[in-house]
Amino acid sequence: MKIKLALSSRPPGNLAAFSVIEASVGMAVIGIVIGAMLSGITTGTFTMRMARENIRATQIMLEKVETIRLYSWDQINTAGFIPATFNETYDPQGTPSVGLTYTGTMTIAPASINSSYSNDLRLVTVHLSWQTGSLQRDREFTSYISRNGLQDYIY
Amino acid sequence: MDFKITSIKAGGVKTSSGFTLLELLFSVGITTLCLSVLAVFFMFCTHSFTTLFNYVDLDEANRLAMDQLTRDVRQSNGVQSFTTNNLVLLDSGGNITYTYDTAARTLTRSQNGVSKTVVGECDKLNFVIGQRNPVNASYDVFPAATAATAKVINVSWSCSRKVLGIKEDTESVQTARIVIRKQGS
Repeated sequence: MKIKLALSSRPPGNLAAFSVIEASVGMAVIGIVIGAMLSGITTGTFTMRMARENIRATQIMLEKVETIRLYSWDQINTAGFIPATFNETYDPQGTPSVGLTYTGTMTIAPASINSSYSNDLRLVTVHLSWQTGSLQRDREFTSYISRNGLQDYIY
Repeated sequence: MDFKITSIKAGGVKTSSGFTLLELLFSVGITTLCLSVLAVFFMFCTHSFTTLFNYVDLDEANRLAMDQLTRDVRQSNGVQSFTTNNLVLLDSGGNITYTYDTAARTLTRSQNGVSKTVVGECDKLNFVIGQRNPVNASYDVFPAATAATAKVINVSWSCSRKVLGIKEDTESVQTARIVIRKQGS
């Protein structure tokens, strides 16, 4: 009678540890998951920051355009009465003002409209520039103003 | 007759050996390190998500408040009285009062006896009232000495919340210059 002992070189499953490959793959998966989460959070925070700065830029541009309706037609056409450039900060109430600085320009140009009343119109353009980190950002707001428009109504 | 043993139950093999002190210390150290990393990661994620939520929530509430204030000012008939933290607008539907409470950190809107908090958690708020005459070579207007000459309402405020006891990076800043649309008498 012959008895052959055929045992696997690998120990039974409930005693086996992870192999190097298994451990490496597991660690890689965990690393990718954590990296993706961190990347997502960072991207979300950066996107939120960009959105907040964008909203603040909108507020600044609207403030400038809102004032336009208070000027008379002569004041609008007088060079230098409305400054061509301006600077604003993110938080003007900060002591001192904190946050990033917005650099802006306001140009008032003849309206390029082929019409008989084109001389009574002006094109107002407010341009704003700022930096989010190393990213250069720009926004622009344009509007027409009329000689016989809102100024006469207010005054 | 040939017999072939193909498996051996592990239960049949009893080991009496435990961990050595070195193995135990090593495993406890690694476990502590992993738990620490997980705790830091969990706190970082919680802080980040809370901050993002606060940004969105504050921004939404503040924009709604600014829209309502803008609408009220633009359609008002004028200003009845003002200070740096109080504004009373003349309105055909009943005068509208905006009051900033520095202690409660709230901006309240009142009309016809009905009060509503439109801005909460407000750290700073400031009304600056101007008249309609613009200043030469400036974007400013001359300040209004009396309510009767008020034409421009400059308002700015900032709100914030604390995240894990820290106020940083959860602020919301709002500014506006609003011109009363109605023609002065």
